[in-house]
Amino acid sequence: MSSSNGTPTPIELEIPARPEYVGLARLVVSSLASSRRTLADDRIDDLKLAVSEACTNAIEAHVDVDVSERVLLRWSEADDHLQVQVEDRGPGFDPRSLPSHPPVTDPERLNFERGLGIPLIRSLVDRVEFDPSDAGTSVRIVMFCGPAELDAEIDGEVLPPGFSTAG
Amino acid sequence: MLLATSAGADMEEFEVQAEVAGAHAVVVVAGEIDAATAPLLKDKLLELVATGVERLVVDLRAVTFIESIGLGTLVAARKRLSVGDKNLCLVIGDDQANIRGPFEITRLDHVFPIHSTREAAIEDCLSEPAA
Repeated sequence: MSSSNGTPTPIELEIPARPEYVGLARLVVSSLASSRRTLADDRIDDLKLAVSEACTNAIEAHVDVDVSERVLLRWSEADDHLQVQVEDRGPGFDPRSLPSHPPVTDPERLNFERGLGIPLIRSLVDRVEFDPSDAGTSVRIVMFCGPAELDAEIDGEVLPPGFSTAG
Repeated sequence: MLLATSAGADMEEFEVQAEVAGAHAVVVVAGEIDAATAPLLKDKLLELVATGVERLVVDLRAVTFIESIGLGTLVAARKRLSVGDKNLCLVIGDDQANIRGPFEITRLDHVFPIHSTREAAIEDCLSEPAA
């Protein structure tokens, strides 16, 4: 899965713009993260949730304008990070247009059921960029991590009986 | 009374069950809560409120994933209950960091009392008569 210059080739997944396919996107991204990179389980959970939120936003953008095209996920890697790009063909979404929520102590807070996805993504991942245009919105999610260390003890996990780390 | 909702083949792991006693209900949710399943949870919670339930304990210990739309669903249910600090309590296990995390990040853990056992949630939220 590498190009001639040693850079891993991006992996693409297209899903129908329907909510029941977001689980598949989560499964693929978390499987890639756990098998190809050194990333603690809780960071994989963060990535999974961030990608899920981005996919749900993308699907809603398609539904809003009755676009039947698929949502594209593109996985790519570098030495020190992984990147997941979620692209939709919706009308273009400006994250700066989100209303700010009242504080949780304010009863008015209960009038805001939506709009938590983007703040969650920002909190969960190391870097996120939103690139809206007339042709759709691209969300780039970056997590810093190392390459996979298949025989190493990761994040303090206890290895099964019979296994041991070198040295 | 036991009410059950299960989704179709694509979401067969998602399930909502409610046990109702007068104006109190314990709702047990299992599976992943995302845009595909949150509407099922919302329907069930609002149905309970419409039939006269005033206080809810929502047990999320069998939930394996929750997206923000799931948090919004709980906010929607909480809004429809009468005013009170403990009208909707949650049960989230101590080992469910991926479920507890989104509530903490969004500070909704200040809106919903969160307990690690169902017994503690019932004691805290359902032990007094509803307002």
